[in-house]
Amino acid sequence: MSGFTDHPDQDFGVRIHDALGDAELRESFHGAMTFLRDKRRAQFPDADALETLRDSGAAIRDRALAQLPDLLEQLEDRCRHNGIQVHWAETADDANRIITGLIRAVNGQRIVKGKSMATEEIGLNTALEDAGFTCLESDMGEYIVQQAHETPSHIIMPAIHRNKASIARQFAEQIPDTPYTEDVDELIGTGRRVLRRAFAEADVGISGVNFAIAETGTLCLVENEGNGRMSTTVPDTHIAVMGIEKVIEKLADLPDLMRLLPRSATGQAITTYVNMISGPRREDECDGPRQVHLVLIDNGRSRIYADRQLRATLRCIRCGACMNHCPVYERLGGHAYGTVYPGPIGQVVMPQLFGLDHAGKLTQACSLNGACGEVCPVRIPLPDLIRRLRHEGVSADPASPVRGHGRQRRVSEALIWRAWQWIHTRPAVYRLVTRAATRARRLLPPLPRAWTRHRAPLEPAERSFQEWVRHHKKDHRP
Amino acid sequence: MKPRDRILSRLRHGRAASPATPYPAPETTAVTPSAPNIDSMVSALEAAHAQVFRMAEADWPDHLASLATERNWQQWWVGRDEAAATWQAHGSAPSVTVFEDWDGQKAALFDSAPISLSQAQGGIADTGTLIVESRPEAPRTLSLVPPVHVVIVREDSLFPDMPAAMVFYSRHGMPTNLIFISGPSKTADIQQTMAYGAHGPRELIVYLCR
Ligand code: SF4
Repeated sequence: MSGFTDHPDQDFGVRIHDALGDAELRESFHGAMTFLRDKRRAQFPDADALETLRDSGAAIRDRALAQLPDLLEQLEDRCRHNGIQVHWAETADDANRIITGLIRAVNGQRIVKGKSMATEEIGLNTALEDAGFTCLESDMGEYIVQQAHETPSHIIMPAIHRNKASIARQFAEQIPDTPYTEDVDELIGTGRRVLRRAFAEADVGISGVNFAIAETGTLCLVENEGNGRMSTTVPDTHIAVMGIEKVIEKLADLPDLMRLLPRSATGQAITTYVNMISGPRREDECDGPRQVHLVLIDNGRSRIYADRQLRATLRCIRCGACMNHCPVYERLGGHAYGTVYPGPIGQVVMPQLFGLDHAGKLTQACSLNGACGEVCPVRIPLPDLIRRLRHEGVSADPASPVRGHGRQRRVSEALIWRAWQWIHTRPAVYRLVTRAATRARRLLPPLPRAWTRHRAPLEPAERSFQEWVRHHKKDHRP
Repeated sequence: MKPRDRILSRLRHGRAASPATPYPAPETTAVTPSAPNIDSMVSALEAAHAQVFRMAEADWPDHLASLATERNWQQWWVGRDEAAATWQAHGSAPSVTVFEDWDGQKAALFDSAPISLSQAQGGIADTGTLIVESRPEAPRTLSLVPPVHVVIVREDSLFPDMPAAMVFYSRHGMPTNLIFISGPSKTADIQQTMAYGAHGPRELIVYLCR
């Protein structure tokens, strides 16, 4: 029920139905989303200042994307100079092969991982298992989810679908010598105890990257727990994994993005830790990894990049604000989407990664209310992009840049719209049709069940709106 | 062609085929205040659950010694930085371990190091942030592994805000590991309930010295 799939369209309706019927889940998400929205709002008391900051965030990310290939080369060059080894992966499989190879090369046995969406995206854990390795998630939420053989349901708070009673049960059952307790401090204490052992013994640490700074060859990682610091400091080998779009031009670009990211994500002015990694341990230093690797992943990004409008997708800094403000996500939760990135950003990213034939239906789970676009810290026009992808889904244009375009097209639907267009562009016909429909409204066939199952049946009014206006005017003429 | 070159060439192609109109930069940008606001440093750190003491630089060892007695802190772990030297010279701590041999001392650091003391190279007043650089005399894990971390930082080493700090590091270059610390380690991953001491220190004690 909660696995990621590369064909999220399949059974999407079933997952939606199940999610909506799960009262506990809806309660969890409603509580969590309200909490996160309130916290974010409290961090941005001045609406004008927020808009200026969003302009800046969008401009910084846009400027970086405009120079993307050049900045990637600069980043590679600076990283090499700093002693960080850089690897390039075109696909998820390539990335997994590279990472597995790096682990084999250092004869890695115990692997810990800090929170990283990029490694979720490429399905690294499964790939490592297939290669005979186990990789322990060390972010508390990710740890809980991994232990339960689930997948994250939110990009910032992975275990947001779980309440403390169910986590208490899980810990008591699965961790030796752990009594049942719903005390959150004690639960976190248990996680800390188990994961400390793992950190102390790990020989390979894997992490994501929030921003990579081309100017200095620095990998920037933000977090509250310290799992990122542990994973990137304690094991002898550190492997950082990032999408190629995460590069920014210079250190001076960081402050505004840092003003936006934690505030938008969790309503914090700053995270507890900001890690800026610019190389492995030096000869004269006592600790830190002896090797640092950076794996740059394309995985469809260069295709997204080629379309001027869709390119805005790549501005994303993965804050999660769009899902926190999405009324559909709040009611469904993350698992119903079946994708690594759920909610509005997922509805835009996933169809582009998997193709509209596999993930095009995701774009339908949207009321185009626009909340996501209004909160996005880097001003990604998410509703416009969702509409664009809906259009590509039914577009017959062979030049469409999106994979699987036109695959959501149905002849019946196309015919209905053709007829609608024909009627609406001919005033005489339009008058005739509305007249007929209003007068003969009791004779019209019932709407299909797909519509009426959850909604009241619709019936045309007694008079058309135009007639009503004409009538109204007559009555009120001075 | 190598994967690297294929990716870069796809990007260059894509850019040439549909060049972007750059997003206009905002008309006003944040101005850096000229002096760090010490009060905001203190209040932000306290809001993040850190304990802050302000005093003259000469006074912290005595103060810390009485705090240590009160809290029964015995086993101290330090590096070879200035704060460590001062603390060792003060002589009040029953046991001070110098952490300098990763392979030899790592297990003990994880298993039996209750409290560490280190110097922060600077801070960011606006957000209540300590700046900790990796250095030969200052191991990275000292500020991470022990459950209690005591930090000494000078008021005159504070930047007013993050842009000012970034200007400094852009000019002077980055250390291999630069960490901004704004409070003890924490998580809200279980039902949005805040818990301290997730993986790093549970307690952060800051001496802000004149
Ligand atoms: S699309 Fe915008 S709001 Fe959504 S995760 Fe990305 S940056 Fe945040």
